[in-house]
Amino acid sequence: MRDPMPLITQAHDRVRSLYGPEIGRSRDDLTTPALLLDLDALRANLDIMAAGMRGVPTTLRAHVKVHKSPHIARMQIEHGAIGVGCATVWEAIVMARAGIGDVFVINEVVGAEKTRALALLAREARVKTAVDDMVQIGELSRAAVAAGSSIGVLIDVDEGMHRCGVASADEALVLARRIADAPGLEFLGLTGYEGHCSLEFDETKRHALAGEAMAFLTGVSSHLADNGYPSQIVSAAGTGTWEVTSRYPGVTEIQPGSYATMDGHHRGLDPRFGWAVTVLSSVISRRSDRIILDAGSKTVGASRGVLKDWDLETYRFDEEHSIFLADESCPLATGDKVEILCNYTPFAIGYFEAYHVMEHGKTADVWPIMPRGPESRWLLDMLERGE
Amino acid sequence: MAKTAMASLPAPVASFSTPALVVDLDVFEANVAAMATLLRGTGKTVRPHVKTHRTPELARRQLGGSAVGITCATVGEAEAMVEVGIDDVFVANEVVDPRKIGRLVALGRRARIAVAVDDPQPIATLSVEADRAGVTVDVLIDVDILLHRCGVASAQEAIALAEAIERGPGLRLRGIMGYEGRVRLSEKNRSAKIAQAYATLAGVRSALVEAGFPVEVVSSAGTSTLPEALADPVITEVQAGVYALMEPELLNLGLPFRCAVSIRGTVISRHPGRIVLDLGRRVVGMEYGPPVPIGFVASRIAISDEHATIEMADPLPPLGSQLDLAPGQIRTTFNLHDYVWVSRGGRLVDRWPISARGSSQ
Repeated sequence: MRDPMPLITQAHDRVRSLYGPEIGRSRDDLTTPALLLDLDALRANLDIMAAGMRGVPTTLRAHVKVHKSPHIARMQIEHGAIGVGCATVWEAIVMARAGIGDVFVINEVVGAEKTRALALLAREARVKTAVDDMVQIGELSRAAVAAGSSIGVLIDVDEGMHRCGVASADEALVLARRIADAPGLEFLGLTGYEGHCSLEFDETKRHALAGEAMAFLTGVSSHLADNGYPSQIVSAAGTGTWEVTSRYPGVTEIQPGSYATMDGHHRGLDPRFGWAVTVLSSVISRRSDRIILDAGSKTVGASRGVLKDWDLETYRFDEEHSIFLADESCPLATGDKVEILCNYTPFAIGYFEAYHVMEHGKTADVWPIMPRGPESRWLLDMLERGE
Repeated sequence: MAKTAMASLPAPVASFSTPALVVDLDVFEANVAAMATLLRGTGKTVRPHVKTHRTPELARRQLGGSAVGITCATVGEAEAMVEVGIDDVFVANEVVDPRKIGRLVALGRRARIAVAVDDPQPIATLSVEADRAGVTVDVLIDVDILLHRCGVASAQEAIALAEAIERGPGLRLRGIMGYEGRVRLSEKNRSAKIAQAYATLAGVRSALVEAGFPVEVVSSAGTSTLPEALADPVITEVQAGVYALMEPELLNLGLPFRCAVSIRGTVISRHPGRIVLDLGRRVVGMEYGPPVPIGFVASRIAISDEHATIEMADPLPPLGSQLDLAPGQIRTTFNLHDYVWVSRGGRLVDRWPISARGSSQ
């Protein structure tokens, strides 16, 4: 039988060949540093989100830039997500080839290679992207026409984060007209990301900030509708604001990602979701006052992190090491395994090529992290060849 | 307006997609030559630390003259380097996992291998594995000279380990190492700290020699402490790595090295007073602060996962144009890329795999 997902199968086979001996081993017998994915914790997080979205007038779009795992993305679809959000064209290609039919690059796509890749992908999946400038609309339109495809376009609205996005309803209207007139493009609506809210740990203040952001976003939506450009989609939110934003009138979908894998930062925003990803490491040196682990900033992705199950103070994070204060009353010895809880999981994921998928204390499988990038031109080549 | 120093693409490079890591090979080679000049007449060697870039093509180009081998931080790095024919490798780190020790010893059939130790347990495992494989592994005792990381804290501990190494079939005691870490120019009592670190190293060396143990190699120092290490009478080799590529924060040390690495991004969004590039934390290491603009002036740079938001004065560069920044932290930056583009004479000429990317095991 023909493999429906050869790209994913090849990547999966590759990491299985690299880490094959690890499958079946218990946590304490793994080679470190290793990126662990706790399957039960992941499922529990997906269940919490699915329950939270039940009966709500918005839909869930899972942002996959967080984990870059086609396997996790498919589980998110099984748990009710209507599609995925991506940060790059390359992520979108991988997710489409994982069988996900609705992929939204929630970012400005600029440059001939990337627009070409997006346009080619639009032949085989429902592809959407964001714009905040006329130039992008022109590039995307030319690419879609050349590829004979249609790309869904959403206007990126700056809800207060001051990164990408238009700052006013009038700017949005100018872009909406241009998109509607551009061959190969379909105007779908608006997208915004209230990322500045995720830096506010006080829930009342955060919800108020998110309310202001949504008032602005839906105001822009009304302005466009009044001028003959109604939005099919008004997309927003991250893990820090998913609940309030999903219930805000006028919003149609939310785009959180970290709720699946979680980390210290997002646990500070919504502790209902549990740790699903950790970095397993070994004690490689035991001194009388401290332990030295073989995972540091080059695997955890930051110069901070705390230990799971051990209440030890951090002395320092170096590149290949982290050091925790542990006097002789602490039983940890050379060779012992400990898990590091990341403050921000996406940074750790960039340093690994696979997850060790843990179930019942054993490695059930290894799943590829892809695309690792950022150089992912081979994915465009694959589309060009019609594979 | 932004200067794009490496914009022209020669025919062999069909396309260039951002974000991309670029090494200026002319600057890299000048840095390698400058290190050789610094070492001349000192009787010391450099054993370039390749954890800096995890790139075999760069590692090969750092060898020659008195530089006969490389330093690695992990067994995975050592494997990637031996794979391309580098035949003298020192893993300047504790290798404890018996499976990793097995992999290290296996490399001993193809290369001269050395490793650091600070505990009797891995010495015993190393000896059994080396003896079984019929190879000899060089062992250096790791001394904690400043960092309070790995390493023995006293000469007595070092002597106990030396005895264990000497007793162990398949092992040869080569000497000692101690890494003092990055000591910035601004650090309080910088000179005194470095002097104390090297005095500790010298003390352990003397104690071992007096006890009758050979100490041929005293390995230490990084780029930040190079002037002090070169003046030290005891150190025989420096483990510097950053010197070949450099980082902006070390430029104030007055060393004869220049920054050879840039990360290139494309302007994907522009607004009054600010532009957004398609590069962020997912492709650039931030441990030493945000990347530094090359050829343009920014009043503020905010780095998020996939974006660099840059506040700058008019005229803003057009959408789609490319800008270069110098990463503050080279080592974590390289570890986020599969390839480094190579420029020579201001033109992109090649693309080399960072084949030890992610080799943290």
